[in-house]
Amino acid sequence: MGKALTVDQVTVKYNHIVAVHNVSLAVEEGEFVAIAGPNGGGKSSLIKAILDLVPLASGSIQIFGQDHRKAKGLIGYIPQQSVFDSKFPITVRDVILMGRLPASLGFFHRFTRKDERRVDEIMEELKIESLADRPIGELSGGQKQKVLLARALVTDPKMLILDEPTASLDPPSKKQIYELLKELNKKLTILMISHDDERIFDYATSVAYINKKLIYRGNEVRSFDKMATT
Amino acid sequence: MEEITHLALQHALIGGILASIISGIIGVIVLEKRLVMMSGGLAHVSYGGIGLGLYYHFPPLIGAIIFTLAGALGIGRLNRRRNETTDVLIGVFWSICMAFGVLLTQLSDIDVDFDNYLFGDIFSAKTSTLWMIFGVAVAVLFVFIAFYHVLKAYLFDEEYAEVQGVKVKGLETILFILLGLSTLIILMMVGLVLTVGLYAAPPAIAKKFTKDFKKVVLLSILLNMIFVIIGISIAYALQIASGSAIIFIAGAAYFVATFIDYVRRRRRMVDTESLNA
Repeated sequence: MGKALTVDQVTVKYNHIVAVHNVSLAVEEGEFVAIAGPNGGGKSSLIKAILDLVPLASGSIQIFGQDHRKAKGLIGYIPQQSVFDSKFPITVRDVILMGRLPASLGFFHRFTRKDERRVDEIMEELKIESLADRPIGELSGGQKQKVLLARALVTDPKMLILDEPTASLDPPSKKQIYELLKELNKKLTILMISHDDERIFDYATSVAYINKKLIYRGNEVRSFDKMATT
Repeated sequence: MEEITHLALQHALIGGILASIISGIIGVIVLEKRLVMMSGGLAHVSYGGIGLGLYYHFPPLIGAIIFTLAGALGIGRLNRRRNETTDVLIGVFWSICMAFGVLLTQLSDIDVDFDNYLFGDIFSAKTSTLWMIFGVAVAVLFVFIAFYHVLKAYLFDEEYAEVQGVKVKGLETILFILLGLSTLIILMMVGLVLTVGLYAAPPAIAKKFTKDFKKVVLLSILLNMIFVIIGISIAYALQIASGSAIIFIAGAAYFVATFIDYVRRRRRMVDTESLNA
């Protein structure tokens, strides 16, 4: 199997403050990698760099062998729930349809029958088809998370990137999301930030511990606990 | 104030209805992207251009267009960085441009009726002004329809749209230019002091009654039309400035809508409580 992601000596800076320092990291196809580390340790910055949301100060990133700036559509992204406005007047179906937007300015873009059908399929797969016409603001945390997952999946990505998807969820919803991810991992590579939820290590196949620099990378998923305290 | 003629009333109504389309659409963007402060700033920045025109004897509207567009793109850049100094910088630009405009107006040899700029004077709209409003309305409608899905994605979750490969910065530049132009139009209607009210109130009311994006926009446009027509009629009947009448109606409607919404919510809460009991 090939490499899903190669992060090569990447440094990210915000106004001269270093958020990620010289991190190199490889993810094999089919892996389920948990990114752990302290708050402010650069986990989100690293993900933003991979998604080309922030520029690299140095280094390079390859996604399935392509430069990350040209790899739109290969990645399904699930952000923290706090980044969007829950009061925005939009239905579940329309949120998921966003995942079918083209990589362009979208001049006179109209969604096709195929786009709609794909959305229906994914909703069925995640068992959220009954929510289709509900406004996003009326959903529970767990339901919202599934909608975001659906929006990422409808792109037909090869890799999922998740930023603390289970923060603010109750334990049963968390478990449900993890089980879903485990199922999806059979087909997809998964990279997921997890701040302080140990249960993730029952599901992830390996861990990367980041505190500005890459501190640990390996399969000893539980050993990082010690690292956090030293 | 000069007496308002029947023809002026006709012009005002045509201009007002066109401007309602503009502010209905742009207002939703202003509300969702939290650009209320920015658009208030833009309205005042325009006065710098008006003062410059008056002092150097070129059409003040040209000066206003240049200042507002420069302001829209400049403040837009600042807004992207979004830190605590953004607010301060908008505030400083806001007051400096206003001061600059007032200074030049007072130094110029033209006797200017400040009220018209401050509180709007749609009744003095010439045919050429109506064509300009028409042009901006067409541009706003075109962009709204052409970029409908991308725009919705941008307003809801800008970061995801960017991950998806949508050219967010390009879209934003187009929107900021439109915001500048439409602010100028609204300013002619209601004056620079009151512009923010016409952007913010209608979509805020609309959002209380529907959770569908398309309906929010259509309802905002409709509410704008109602406020503008009633406002212009009152202004005509009482022979007063158009702006204060329009904004007063919009503001009153906002508070009534908020009250109705509050009562409905309470009733729903009581209903569920009694169901649970």
